[in-house]
Amino acid sequence: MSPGKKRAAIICVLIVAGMTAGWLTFNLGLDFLLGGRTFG
Amino acid sequence: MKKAAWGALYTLVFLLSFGIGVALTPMFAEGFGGLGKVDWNEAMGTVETDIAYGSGPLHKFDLYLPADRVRATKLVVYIHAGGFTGGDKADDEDIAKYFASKGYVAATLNYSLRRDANDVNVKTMSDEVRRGVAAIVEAARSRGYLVDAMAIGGGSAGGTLAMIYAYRDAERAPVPVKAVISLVGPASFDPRGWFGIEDDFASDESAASGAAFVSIMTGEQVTVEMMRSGQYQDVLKPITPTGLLTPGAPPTLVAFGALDKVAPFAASTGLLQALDRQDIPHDALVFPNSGHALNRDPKMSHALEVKIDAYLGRYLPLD
Repeated sequence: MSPGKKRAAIICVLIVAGMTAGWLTFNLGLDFLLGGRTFG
Repeated sequence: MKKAAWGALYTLVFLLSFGIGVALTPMFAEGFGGLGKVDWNEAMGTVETDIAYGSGPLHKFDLYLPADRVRATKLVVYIHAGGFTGGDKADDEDIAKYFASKGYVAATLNYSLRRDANDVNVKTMSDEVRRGVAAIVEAARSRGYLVDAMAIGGGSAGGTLAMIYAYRDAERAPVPVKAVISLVGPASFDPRGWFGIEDDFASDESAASGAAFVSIMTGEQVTVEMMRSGQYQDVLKPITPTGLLTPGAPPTLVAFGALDKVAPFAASTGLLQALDRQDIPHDALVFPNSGHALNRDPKMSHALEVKIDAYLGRYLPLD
């Protein structure tokens, strides 16, 4: 694999990982906000 | 490009993607409880905020008054979420506007919140809700809205407080309580269901943690011995919707997230059995892919909105 293709693949993986992490953070954060620290 | 520059670029790509992931999620998620946002305008009604019902800083409610005063003889009170430690009545502005847009007088209220430095507990909060509801009815009537029946609902902690009001305080309510709606509201604080304790508090650890939990929730000093003898259940009863149910309780609509880790669904399954046993009209919507925020099942959110409308239409109809 050429260095250019390798870097493009890394960027694709990072985009997917970043968006997934953002989605998870929002969902878990929302659960926590509604539940508050009593139930956390 | 140097290695460090590529590293910085990769970091930037990840962070940007993370931000986009956070930003896009609410755009595709349904509102809590599936209730659609209303494009509120002055022709639909008026909103009065921060009306006091007591002397405490949080003893305040907001009133949403529909334009058609003659038709608006029914009240919907909605109590905010926040784990008894946070949240605000303003969080549910959209929900209250939704009810007001249908022609109901709607209200949201604040109640004292648990802090490390105070002894506020679910019992004191539920007593405040009782006083708040009385003040809400009085305020509506004094503004020419002749409220003669109500429904009460809430999310999470607010759902619990709504059920406590409906099952414990409805007999003393200023107007008949015709329905209760609880979205992810815990129906029991029994530590066994809450924390999955299976040894009936035989171990010192489970008994001590159970006693601490019950003490915080009730404001009563509960001991390890009380946990082991079962006496703690008497202490919990005034704040346990499941235990407060009587055959005359109002029709109940509940929604839960099957994957809820914040307020475990398992702690509330007893409510469904009790509703069956007491033959109380009820519906339970379980969101299979959602946690505490009920935000990962769009079809269920829509079904819940339909069901809420059906409950109001059936049990709290407007003339």
